[in-house]
Amino acid sequence: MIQNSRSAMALALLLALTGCGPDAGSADSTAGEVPPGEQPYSEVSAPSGFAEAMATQDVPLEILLGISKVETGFQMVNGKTEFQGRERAYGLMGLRESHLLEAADLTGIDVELIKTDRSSNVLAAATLLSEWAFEAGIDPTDLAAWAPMVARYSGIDNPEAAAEYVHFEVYESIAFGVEMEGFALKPQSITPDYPFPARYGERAGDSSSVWTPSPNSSSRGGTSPQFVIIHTCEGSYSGCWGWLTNSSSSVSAHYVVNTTGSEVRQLVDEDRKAWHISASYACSRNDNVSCNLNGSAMNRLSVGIEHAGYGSQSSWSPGVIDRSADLTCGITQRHNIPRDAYHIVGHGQLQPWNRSDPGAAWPWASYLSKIDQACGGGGTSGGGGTSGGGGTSGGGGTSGGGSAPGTGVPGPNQIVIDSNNGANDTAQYYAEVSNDWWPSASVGGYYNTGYWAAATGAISDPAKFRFQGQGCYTVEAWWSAASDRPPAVTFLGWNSDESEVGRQVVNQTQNGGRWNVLGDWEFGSGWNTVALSRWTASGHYVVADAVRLTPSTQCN
Amino acid sequence: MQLILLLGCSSAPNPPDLTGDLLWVSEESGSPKAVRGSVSGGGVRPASELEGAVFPAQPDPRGELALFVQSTEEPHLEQLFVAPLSGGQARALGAPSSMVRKPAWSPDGSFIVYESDVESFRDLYRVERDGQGPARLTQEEFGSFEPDVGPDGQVVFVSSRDGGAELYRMGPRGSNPVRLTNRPSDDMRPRWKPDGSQITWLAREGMGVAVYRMDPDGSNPGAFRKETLGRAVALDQLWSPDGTRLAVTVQTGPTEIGIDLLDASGAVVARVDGPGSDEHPAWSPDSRWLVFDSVRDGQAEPDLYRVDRDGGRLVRITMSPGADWLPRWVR
Repeated sequence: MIQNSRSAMALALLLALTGCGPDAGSADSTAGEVPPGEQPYSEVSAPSGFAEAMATQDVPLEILLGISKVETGFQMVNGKTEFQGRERAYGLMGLRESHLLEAADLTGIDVELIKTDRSSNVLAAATLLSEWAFEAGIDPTDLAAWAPMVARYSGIDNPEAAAEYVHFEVYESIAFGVEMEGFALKPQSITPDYPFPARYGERAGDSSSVWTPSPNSSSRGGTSPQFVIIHTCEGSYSGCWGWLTNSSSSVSAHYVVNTTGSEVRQLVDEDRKAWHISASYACSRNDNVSCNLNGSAMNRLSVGIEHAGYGSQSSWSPGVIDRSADLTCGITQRHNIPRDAYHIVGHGQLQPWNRSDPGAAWPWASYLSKIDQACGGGGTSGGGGTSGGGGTSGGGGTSGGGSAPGTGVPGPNQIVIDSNNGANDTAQYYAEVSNDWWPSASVGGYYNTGYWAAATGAISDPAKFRFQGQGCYTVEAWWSAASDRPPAVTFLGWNSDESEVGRQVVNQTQNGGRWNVLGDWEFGSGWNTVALSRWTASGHYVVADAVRLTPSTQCN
Repeated sequence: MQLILLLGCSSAPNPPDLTGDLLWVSEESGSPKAVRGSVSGGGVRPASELEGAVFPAQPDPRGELALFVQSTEEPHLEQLFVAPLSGGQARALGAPSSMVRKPAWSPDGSFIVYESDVESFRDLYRVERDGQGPARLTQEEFGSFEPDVGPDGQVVFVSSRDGGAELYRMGPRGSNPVRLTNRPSDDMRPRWKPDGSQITWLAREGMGVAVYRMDPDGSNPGAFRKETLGRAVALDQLWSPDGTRLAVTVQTGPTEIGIDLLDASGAVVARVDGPGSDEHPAWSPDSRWLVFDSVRDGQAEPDLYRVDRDGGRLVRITMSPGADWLPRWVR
C-alpha cells in the first residue's frame, strides 16, 4: 500500500470535515450593478467537496471539475453494469472500481464511504491523481502536464478514445469554463500534453454521426430491425465508445450519443447486428421450434443506441433527448419501424432481470413525442406503410418538420421569434421589452445577434415574444447561460386576452446555446404571447433571447 | 425472515375483513423468488419450487391456481407455470421463449392470453387452464401486446399493425379483430372494466400520459380521470374486481411514483403517495384492500404495504433485508 504524507493529511482533513453543513466553498457570484456577463469569475475556494480535496491535494481544480463534469455531469452516481468487463463507476468523480480500491488504499477511507459520500469521493479521486502525478514527476501547476493522469483516470484502453477523452471532453470542458452549483471557473484554452486524436470520417446511416467502426458485430441473418433499444453507458462518452470498439469487450452498439447531444458516434452499420442486449433464444430448449431465431434474438431484431451518462442520474440534457429523438426518427424511417412505445424501448424493459437503463429519469413521453415531431409529426409510421410524412428515408439526423438540434435553423413549419426584430416578420411575430431591458451580447451561446437582459426582482415587466397563430405549439426557448443568470425564472404562455395557457420555470445558469422545451401549449386566435418574467429572486440577470414555436399534436 | 409491523398499533389484531394470502417477489436470497405469506406478512414460504427467477402473475379468478412467469438464463428463456394454491407440482403452460409476458386470465378462469416471441417479434397466444394449446391468436409483423380479457371472453390488446400503437378487440379465439382507437400518439395498457361496460387505457396527453375510457365498441372515447395529470405519466392501471375503484400508478418525478385511487366516475378518491415510489398495486379479491410495494420509509429496497379501498389504514406488511415487491392477493 502506498501511503504518502498527502494521503494521511487528506484523511485527517476528511475526518475533520465530514458532516460539515454548509458548502464550504460555494461562491456567491451575484454582485453589484454590472452588465450581464461582466461578472468576475469565481475567485475563491471551490464547490463543496472540492474545497476539502484542494486543501490537501495539489490537483488543480480545473482538472477535478473537468473530470467530474465529463464523468458524471456533477451528479453523485451509483453506477450499474452496462457492459460486461467494464467496471462500475461511483460518486461525483465517477470513480471506477479498481481505481476506487486503489484510492481507498491510499487514503485509508472506507470503500463504501468513497462510493456514497461526496467529499470522500472527491478526495479519493484527488489523492489518486496526485499520487500518479507525483510518480510522473510533473509540475502540478502546469495544467497541460496533467493530461496523462486524466487519460489514466478514464480507464479507457483504446488510445484513440483516451485521446478524445482528454482533448474533446475534459480539456474542452476547461476551455469553455466549468460551472458547477453557481461556481464558475474562467475559460482556459490549454493544449494538453497528450497525442492528438485522429478522427474517423463520416458515413451513411446517420449521416451526421462520426463513423468509428467496431469489430463487435455480425450478420443479422436476413432479418430487419424491428425495434430500437435505448441504453445508458453508465459512464463517459469516450469511455463508452472506446469500450464498444474494443475487440476484447465483445459488446457494441450501433450508436453512442454524447452528454450534450452535440455528437453521435456510429459504431456498427444498421444492417448488421450489434451486440448490445443479451436476451437470447435457443430452439433446443423449445422442441426445436423456430431455430432461425437462435442466438441473440433481440440483437438480431434491433438497433441499439447508447447514451453517455447513468441510469441513476436525475435528469437528461434536452440536447441529448433532441439528438437521440432525431437519430431514432431516422432509424425508424430507414427500417419502417413503428414509432411507438412497443418498438422504441428501454434496455431494462427487455432485460429486466439484470438491467434497468435508461433509468427512471428518461423522459419517455416527451422523447416519443419528439421522435414523432422529428419525423414530421402526425404520429407513428412504419408498420402498415402509413408514413408519418415529412422525413426522407436515410436522411440521417435531419427531419421533415423539425430542425437539426443546435443549429437553430427553423424548419419549414416553425416560427422563431428572435430578440432582434430585424430578424422577425413583424407583421406576424416580434419581440417587445420595456426600457429596463438592455441589449447585450456579452455572453456567447446566444441566438442570432444577441439578447435582451434585465435585472431580476419583484417586478412585473416581462419580455414578450408575440405572434399570430392559433393552435397547438411546442414552445421552446433559447438563452445564453452564465453563473449570474437566475436559477429559476418563469416563461408563460398567454392568449390574446392574457389568459394563461402554460408556464415553465427554467434555470438560465444551464442549458445555454440550445433550444429548451417549455411545453406544448394551445393558443387561441389573435396576438398571443410567450412572456419571460423578471419576477424571481433579485441579484441575477434574466435573458430574453429567442422563442421557437413548432406545430404540435400534443395539446389534447 | 419477513416481519410484521403494524404501524402505530403493533398489537392490534387484523381487521376481520382481511382474508387470504399474498404472493410476491422476495429477493432476500439474492435472486427474485416468488414467496407466499399471510396478508400480514407472516408464514412466509416459497410459493414454488421452480428454478431461476420467478415472478407471480395475475391470480386465478377461481382462486385455485397461482400463475408464475419463470425466467432462466444461459440462454435466457421465459415460461408460464401454474401451481395449485393448495399445494402440488407446478405445471408449464405454453412454450418457453425469450419473452413470455403479460398473461391475462379470462374472468371465468378458463383460459389465459399472453404475449410471446416464440414464433415472431411478438404475438398473442391462448392457452387453456388445463394446459391445452397454445393457440396463436394474432400474426402481425409489428407485434401485438398487452392483452386483457373481458367478461364475455373478448380480448382487448395493443397492436402496431397499422403503423402505431392502437387498441384492438378480437374474439376469444382471435376472430374478427376490430380497431378501437385512432389517435396519433400511443394507446397503451387497455383494461376491461370488470362488468364489461367500458375499456380504460393510457395514452399520451401533452408531455404526460393520462387515463382514457371508451365503450367496448370504441365509441365515446374521452378522458376518464376527471383531474388532468399535467406532465405526470400514468404507468399502469388496475380495476378492483367489483369495478368500483381504479388504481392508477402515476410517475410525477424520476423517483416519485404514487398510486391514485379513482372511483368509477374517474374522480380521485385518494392518492397513495409516500416519499419515493409506491408501485405495483394489487386488489384483494373482495376489492376492500390494496397491497403495493414502496420505499416510503426510506428503505433502500421496497417492502409491502396495504391500504383500504379509500387509501386509509396504511400498514407496513414486510420488513425484510431484501426487496419485497410485485404483490398479488389470492384467496
